[in-house]
Parts: sequence; C-alpha cells; structure tokens
Amino acid sequence: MTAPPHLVSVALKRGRFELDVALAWQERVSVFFGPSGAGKSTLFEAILGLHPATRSRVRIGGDWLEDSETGRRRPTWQRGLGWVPQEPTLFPHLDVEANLRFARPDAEALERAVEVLELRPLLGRDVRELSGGERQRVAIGRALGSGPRALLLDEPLASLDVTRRANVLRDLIRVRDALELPMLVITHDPDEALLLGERIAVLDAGRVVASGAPADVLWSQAVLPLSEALGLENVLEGRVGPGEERRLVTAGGVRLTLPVATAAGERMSVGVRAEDIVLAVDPPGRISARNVLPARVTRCEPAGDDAFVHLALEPGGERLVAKVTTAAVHKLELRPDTRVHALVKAQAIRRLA
Amino acid sequence: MNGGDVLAIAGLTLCIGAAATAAVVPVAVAVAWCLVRRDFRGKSLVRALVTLPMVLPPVAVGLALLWLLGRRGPLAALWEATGVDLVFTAWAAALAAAVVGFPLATRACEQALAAIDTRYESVARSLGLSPLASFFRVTLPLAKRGVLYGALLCFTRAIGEFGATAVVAGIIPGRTETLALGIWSRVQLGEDSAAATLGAVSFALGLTAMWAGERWLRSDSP
Amino acid sequence: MAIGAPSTHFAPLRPRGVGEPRVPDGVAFMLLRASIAGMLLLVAPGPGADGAELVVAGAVSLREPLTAIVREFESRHPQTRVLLTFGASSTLAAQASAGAPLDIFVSADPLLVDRLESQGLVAAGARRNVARNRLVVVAAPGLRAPMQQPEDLVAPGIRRIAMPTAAVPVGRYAREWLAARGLLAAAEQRLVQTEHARATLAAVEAGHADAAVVYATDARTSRVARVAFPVPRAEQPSIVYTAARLVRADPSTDALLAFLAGEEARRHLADAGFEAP
Repeated sequence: MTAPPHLVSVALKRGRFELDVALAWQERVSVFFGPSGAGKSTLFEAILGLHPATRSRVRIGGDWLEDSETGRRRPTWQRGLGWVPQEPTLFPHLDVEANLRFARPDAEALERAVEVLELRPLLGRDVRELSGGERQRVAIGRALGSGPRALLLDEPLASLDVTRRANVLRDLIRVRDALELPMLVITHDPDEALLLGERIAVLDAGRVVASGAPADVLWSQAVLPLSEALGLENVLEGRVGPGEERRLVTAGGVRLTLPVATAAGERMSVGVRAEDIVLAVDPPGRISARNVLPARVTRCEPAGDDAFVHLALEPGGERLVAKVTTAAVHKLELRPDTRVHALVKAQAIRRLA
Repeated sequence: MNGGDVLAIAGLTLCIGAAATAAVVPVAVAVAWCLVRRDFRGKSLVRALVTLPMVLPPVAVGLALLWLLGRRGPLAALWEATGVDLVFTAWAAALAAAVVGFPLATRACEQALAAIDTRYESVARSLGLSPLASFFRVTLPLAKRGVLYGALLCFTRAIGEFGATAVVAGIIPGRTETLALGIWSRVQLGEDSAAATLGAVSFALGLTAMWAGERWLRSDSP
Repeated sequence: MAIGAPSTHFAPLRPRGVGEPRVPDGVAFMLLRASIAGMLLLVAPGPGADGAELVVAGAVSLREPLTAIVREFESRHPQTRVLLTFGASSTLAAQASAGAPLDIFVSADPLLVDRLESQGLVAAGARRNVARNRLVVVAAPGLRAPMQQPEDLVAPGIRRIAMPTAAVPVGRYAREWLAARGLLAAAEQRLVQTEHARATLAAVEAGHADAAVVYATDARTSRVARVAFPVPRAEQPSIVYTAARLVRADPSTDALLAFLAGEEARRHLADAGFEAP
C-alpha cells in the first residue's frame, strides 16, 4: 500500500516576487534546487504556513495541512513540520539540551535524535560556543524532537566552510538513512542534491523548471546551463576496498584509485568534474592517469563548442559524464554504444562525504 | 526628623514605586508588542498617546487623573455605584506614578522587542508552540534585558514622581507622603534640615536603584 | 570525524527540568516579588484590629497646637489613630471637594467651610469655631530699611513681600488689611508668592523676602525673623478658625470634633498664642 503522494501547490506574491509552484511526488527525500533568489526558502515558508498565499494546497506525509480550495488551513504550530532554517536559529537563551527539549519531545524520540546526530558531547554547552556544523546538528535534533511528520532543511550546508561540509554532509546522509521521515531539502549545490535526493525539483524565478530523478534532471540539456554554473560534477558513492586503502569500489562495481589513503571499509562519496575526464577510444598504453575505466557511450549532447558525453561505466552501468570539445567527438566518432575508456587522474577525484 | 519617620516615608515611596512598576510592565510589554509586531490603523495615534505623559507637565497628568477618578468627572457614576474612591489614597499615588512611568517602560520594551529576529518566533511556531506560548518561552526571555531596563526606568521615575502625585493624591503622612512630597512640604515649612535629610535619602535610593540595575543587567546573560 | 556505528550503550539524558528556560529568574523574579510585596503593603490595613483611623486636615498655622491636641485625644482613646495633614486651608478644602477622604477639616477661614457646606460635604450642624488669630508684620533678619509702620512696607527700600494667593486665608486677610490702608496696589508690585502661612514665614526667615504679613502665632515660632510691628487692633480682620466634620466621616468622629472645641484643646491653643473663638 503506497502512501498518497506529497503535494505542494502554492502561488503567492511578496513585493515584486511571484511564486507559482505545483509539485507532486512520491519519493521520501526530495530536493529543491535552484539559484539564490529562486524562491526556495519562500516556498518552505509557505509550506510551513508562515506566509499568506493566494493559492495554497499542501499535503505532506499523507495529511492535508492546507487547502485553499476547501478553505481548510492548519496554523503553523499544528502542522508538525520540523524546520531547520538557513541561518542557525538555536535559541540563545537556552543551552543545547534545553534547545533539544524545547518542543517537549518524548524521551525515546529525543534519545534517538541524540544518538543519530551524535549530540551527547554537546549537551549542556552554551549554543554560542558551537561551531556551524554543531549548531546545524543541534537544530536538526531540535526539529526531530518535535516529532514531525517531515523534516524541512533549508540549505543545511550553506553556512559551513569547505572542511566542515564533508563532515556534515556525511551526517546528513546518515540521518537520511536512519530515519523514515519524509525530507525536503533546499540546496543550490549539485553535490548535495545528487547525494541526498531521491527526487529533485528545479526552481528558477519562482517557477518550477524541471522535476524528476536528480541525476537525470541535473544533466539534462534544459537544466545543464544552470547546474553547471552551480558546480555540477559527477558523483560516485561506494566503499573503500578491503585491504586496498586507496581503492574505492562503487555501487556499480567500478574500482577507483583515490589520491589519499583512507580507512578500509569506510563509506565514501567522491566527485569528478566532467572536464577532468579524458576519453580514449583505443586502450591507452602507459599513461600517468591511475584510473582507466571502460565504459559505453549512451549519448552525446553538444553545448556550443563543447559536448557532454554521457557514459555508462562497466560493469554496473553507472553514469559518468565527460566534457570534451565537439571537434573531439567528431574526430573520435563518438556515438551511442561506442566503447571508450574514461581516464581520470587520481588527483582529480575529490572527496565529498 | 526621627529615623522612624524617614523610614516610613522611604518605605511608602518604595512600595508605591514597586506597585506602579508591577502594574506598568505587563501593559507596557503588551502595548510594545502591538506597536512593533502589528500594523493597524491609528498606530501613530497610539504611539503619540503612549508618549503623551512624558511630554505633558506632570501636574497636567495629575489633573487628568483627578478628573477621571474624582466625583466630578466622566466616571463619577461608576465610582458612586461601586463605592470605589481612589483619590487621595496610596492607590492614586501609585496610579499617578504608573502613568508617568508608562512611556519610559514602553519605549524600552519596544526597543527590546524590535531587536529580536522574528525568525525565532517562526521557528518556535514550527516546533508546535502557539503564538502565546512562543511569546512567553522565546520572545519574552530574549527581550528580558530590555524589559527589565524599562521596569527599572519606570521604577526610578515612579519613586521620584511629584507633580501628578501632589494633585491626585495630596500629602497625607502615612498614606500618600512620598519622599518627593515630603521634601516639598518641608521646604515650604522652612524645615531645611529635614528636607535635606529626605533629599539625601532620595538621592541614595535613586543612585542605588540605577547602580544595582546596571550591574544586574550587565551580568545577566543576553 | 569518523562515521561510527551507533553506540549501543549510553547514559540517559539528564532529567527533564534541568536546562529548561530559566524564566523567571534572578533579577526578574526579584523584581516580581518586590512588586507584589509593594502592592500588598499598599493594601495592608493601617490601624489595629478594631481601631479607627481618622484623617484630620488642619491649617498649617495650627501645626503645633493641633498636633498636641490630637496626641492627647489619642492617649484618651487608645483604639483610635489620627493621621494629621497640614497645608493651606484652601488647598485642603479643594482636596475635600475633589473627594479626599478627610474626616475633620480645621480651616483658618470660615468661608471655606461655608463653601464645603454648600457642596453638601459638611455633616449637618457639625462645625465649631475653635480659635481666633491676629496679624503682625515680620521683617527679615538683618533688614536695614526701617519697618515700624504700615507705610514702610511699600517704601522704596523694600523689594519683596512674601504672601500666598488670595485664596489662602492669610493671603486674603493680609490683602483685606492692606486694602483698608490703601497700600494694596503698591504692595502687589512687590509680591513673592508662597504656598501657605508657614512658607511665608520661612521665606522671610531665609531672606528671600524682606517682609511679610503673617499670623502672630506663626511669628512666635520663629527664632530668626523679628516682629516689626503688630497690625493695630482696630484694623485687624476677623480671623476665625473653624473645625468641621465632613459628611463621609464616621459618626464616632464627633468625639474628636467635640474635643477640638473643648477645654483641653483651648489650653493648647492658648499656649501657642491663639485667642479664644
């Protein structure tokens, strides 16, 4: 038995900004992607019931929260949505534990949140002493403590510096897997969208531009200019090989050589930029690149002087996209089903989480 | 002047100040909240009315109160019917002090509330708190320092209040003779040393109140 | 930070209540308690369990004798406590009109009592004349200009004469006399306004005024100002002190009113220099 799909249909006007969005999805974890100013946070605020809207129909987790067609409207404090806004908003007059207990959670829910988010060492501390990542985790814990029907995360990694992002992203993936709650995540980072989301909706200037499976949508021709501008790259997940500390074995069975040794058995997500991939039709001889990945072309998409070559890696068929010149495509006669080798320097592989 | 009299006068002054402050603070917080968080027609008029006691000479305020509370004003029938008679009682003195202290407290509360990011209240709401609950558990604690500062201003103003109190409460020793009124009547009588004693007590009280208030507000975490 | 397996053994969180918002606390709580205490004290009853508490408002010139009379009354009636307030009779009468809870009003001017009567504020027949007074002229200590006769008051060397408004009894009486002597217009150009009879005396004592027309009884209390000359008997205005019981007062106040008109009271008043009514 499937739960009814989540539904968000909102139209509102705020000053000169107009938002008009109609979305329905079944997946548990959905990502709202777009440049800043696209209206993503405003959409969340409308879902939460913090703004009056001309049209507003919201159904999350199977429950109607608002329906302008029937005139039903639950006030914000009865919607049961756990919201983690963009800026850290821990209550400064309470310590960490008081913040977590703010929504009067039952002991079990609270313990679970503390466990999953590893908050125990932070209890009793002043919120002003916490780092950005720690604050983020406490804020998520506080939201979970209210026993919500869904979690709304607004740019959870935006306020963090690069070194912390990997850690917090790892935490978010863990939280996502540990809970069964629907999650709505706003981000302008393609890596986060690809790692967290099961479903994506792309917003621009208050409208939905595309929606569907994250990788498909982000690499699609319509969205590519936007996602590339925001830093779209290839994302692969896997586990560090047993006994082979510098090898990552992806879900699709691809073996990647990493630039740095990492503990064996560790889960990891890595990124490779499309322009860092070299394609070879003939098996390369002795070269410096440590990764030579056999693959099959699935399609080529021109983009001005460049072209995006979509590959399916062997053995599992995982997607990899390479950016080469159109001239190269013609020269190598790349077309669907052509067998190639994708060459990736170990140094070009970046750890994401 | 004997010590007992000085203590009685000082004690009465402090009681009246405390009562006035206790009455003013909740109203000031409520009014300040409406002015800061809500938009409505006539808002500027309300703001002007709130500030009015600060702008008027205190005797004029006392006169207005006398008219409202007395048996020749618009509410005379009410006072007659309920048998309530506040003029020239300590309650009238407290009311006069409250009215002149109200604008000070309200302004301080306004500043305190305006400085709080509305995001905190939104988050509290999302966590399941009704607007009233989020006011008491989030807004008020965050505004605590400003509100207390407003209470302090109101209190110090109240213990120094003279003009309005003289008109609406008179000078009845033991009932409405505050420090300010006590000084005044002794000056009139030419009892300079007694007046000076009360003056010194006033000075000490005012200074202590402000000093203690500053210290507490500084050490209290924001 | 490593990804670890969830811990399987952990201590429970601290019990609920710790770390909850600390409102009220510290300063806030203290002020709250102080305010409530303040309000309670205001409400607290003044007198003893069954005793009465009376409020007597008297002309300021009666301060010493009236205080002595009242203390004697209290010693005779231990259950009763009397609160005394002094001021210009006109001010006190105005307060009575406005609803002040006065029980007995002792005025330096019978006209003020008449007015209260016409307002229905005086209990029927509940008024007594209790004393008479006379006017004298006092001069500031160290005044060089001569002050021996009425005309000296308006001499060029006299710059300031202290006097309350005409509503205040001594102000009315002084103006009455000066007008009869034809000196009022000239005196009014030199007037320094004071609050009541004693304040007038205080102004002269402090040197803020050169001279003043005051009650003889007030001049007696001064150690500093000297009586320049008394107002001639033939020219004295009629100064009668009237005590009245206000209509809202308890009938038991009658005892005090009777006492104020009685023998012992007259003795105290005579000691202070007042004449019989």
